[in-house]
Amino acid sequence: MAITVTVVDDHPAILAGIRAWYALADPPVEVVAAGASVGVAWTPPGDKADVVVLDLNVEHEAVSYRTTVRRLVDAGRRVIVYTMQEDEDVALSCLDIGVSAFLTKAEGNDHLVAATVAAAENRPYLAPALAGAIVANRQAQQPKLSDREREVLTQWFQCESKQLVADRMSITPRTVGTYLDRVRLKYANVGRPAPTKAALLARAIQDGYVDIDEL
Amino acid sequence: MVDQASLVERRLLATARIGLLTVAVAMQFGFYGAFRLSAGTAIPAAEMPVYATLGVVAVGCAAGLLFRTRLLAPLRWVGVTVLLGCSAAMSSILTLDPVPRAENWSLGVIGWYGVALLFDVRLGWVAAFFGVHTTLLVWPVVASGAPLSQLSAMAITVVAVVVFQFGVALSALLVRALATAAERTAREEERLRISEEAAVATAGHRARRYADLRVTTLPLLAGFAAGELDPRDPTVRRLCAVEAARMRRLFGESEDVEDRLAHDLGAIIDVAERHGASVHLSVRGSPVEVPAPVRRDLLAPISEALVTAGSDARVTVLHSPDTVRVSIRCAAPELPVTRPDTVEFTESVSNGQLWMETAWRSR
Repeated sequence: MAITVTVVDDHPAILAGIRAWYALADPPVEVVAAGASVGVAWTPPGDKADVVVLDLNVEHEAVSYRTTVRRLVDAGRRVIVYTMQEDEDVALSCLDIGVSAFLTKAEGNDHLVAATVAAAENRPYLAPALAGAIVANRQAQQPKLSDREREVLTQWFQCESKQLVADRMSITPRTVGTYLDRVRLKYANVGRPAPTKAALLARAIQDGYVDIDEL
Repeated sequence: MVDQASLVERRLLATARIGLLTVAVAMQFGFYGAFRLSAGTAIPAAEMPVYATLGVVAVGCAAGLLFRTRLLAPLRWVGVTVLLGCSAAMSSILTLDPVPRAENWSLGVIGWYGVALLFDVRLGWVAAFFGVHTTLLVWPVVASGAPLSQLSAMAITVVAVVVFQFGVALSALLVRALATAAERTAREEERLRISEEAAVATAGHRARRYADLRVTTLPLLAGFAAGELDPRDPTVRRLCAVEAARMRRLFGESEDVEDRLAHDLGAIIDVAERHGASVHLSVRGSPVEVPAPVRRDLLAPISEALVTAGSDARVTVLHSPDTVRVSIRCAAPELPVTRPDTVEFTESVSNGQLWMETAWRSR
């Protein structure tokens, strides 16, 4: 069965682009609802979609993006924030609220489909822009990362290629992915509790990525 | 600088403490000991343990000062407890006759040791020490119902001794103020010296950069003027792009903006985009001050790669808490870039893609 997605974005070109990427996706991804307002994610048929792809600018000044994202997350929805915002504070606060993934518009081509599949399966996904935000994070409340994890994050942010990171660090691309997943899980284990975070951790334990003692 | 400041303060306090300890030791062994010897009377047997214990405190205190400039906190409080124990012991030994009691050697000697031990802690503790010490001595007399005239006579001596010692303890404040002033002056001098050196270095570097332009840009212009160089030649166009970016950066250096690194990078990206590159720039972290020469070395290789690549490029700036990193990923240029001297440089080429990073430790 195809993964179903509701897309909230106010620009027709973006909507068309997203539909095109999903049309080629494997496993299949189907856009069941799309619109310029977050209302499409709350009303049929968009309310039952597995994943909500949300642009942060759609609500304009009416409510803050935090409120919009929090309502969806608290209702158990898996949200991928897909935005023009490059600001790392926005990225980190979305992570804290409990979004499944955070992508900038520049990363859509390479990462949106993979992030959608990961979100639908409650698996971690950490795109380069967010990796950069995490490495630059100076907030007091942040998970402790090892030097190796910071190195992987930095390089992933810089080159956007697991293969290049792997070559430079003399490890396999799969190990690079494991490092990124572990960092993502560490962030799921701190801050505000959210159903999506719990699902992410539960899945990680089930998959044998981490064991309960580590968390 | 903070270390240096506290060093000044610690040295001054240690010197003062040595002085105070010397006073206490001189009182106990010099004056009181000499008095007993010259009078031909031994120290009363009952007082001997206290006299010896105070001697141990003196030796401990001196040893502490000899090996470290600062007394260890636990040692200090053990010392204070011992002193108050001596005070209580003496109080129980001495007769209740107020004036001899007040004039006993132990009042002054214990007080001086107390000041020496507590010289660099808050004055409240010193006051509390004298409060307990005095009360231990005076209270049995008050409790025995001595007449007011006797108590007043006792007070004259006790107050004279204790208040004088407390006044000496107050001078610790003065020492601290002196240390702070000395530290501030030193820091100010250091800052001035650094900024002067930086100004000289910047001026020198800029002069060298302009000299570089003379070596690299002028021959290009001369070549065009003489008709020796063909603007249609791709190699010539690439050389021009590199020079344009270099000049743009040099002219931009005096502009006053918040994030100089991103600003300079913006200028380079401008030039690169005019040469057909499509550049995506990501900046993360709060900008820190990067000295101009370092900024130039961080950006020079990035700039060369960017303006000669003429392809899609990803440029990132990452201000992590201790390091500034600038990175580029783009099509590998035909010519290798110039390696910088003062910053870390990492480069790899794979499948025709160049990935290069320059990094500088900000802390």
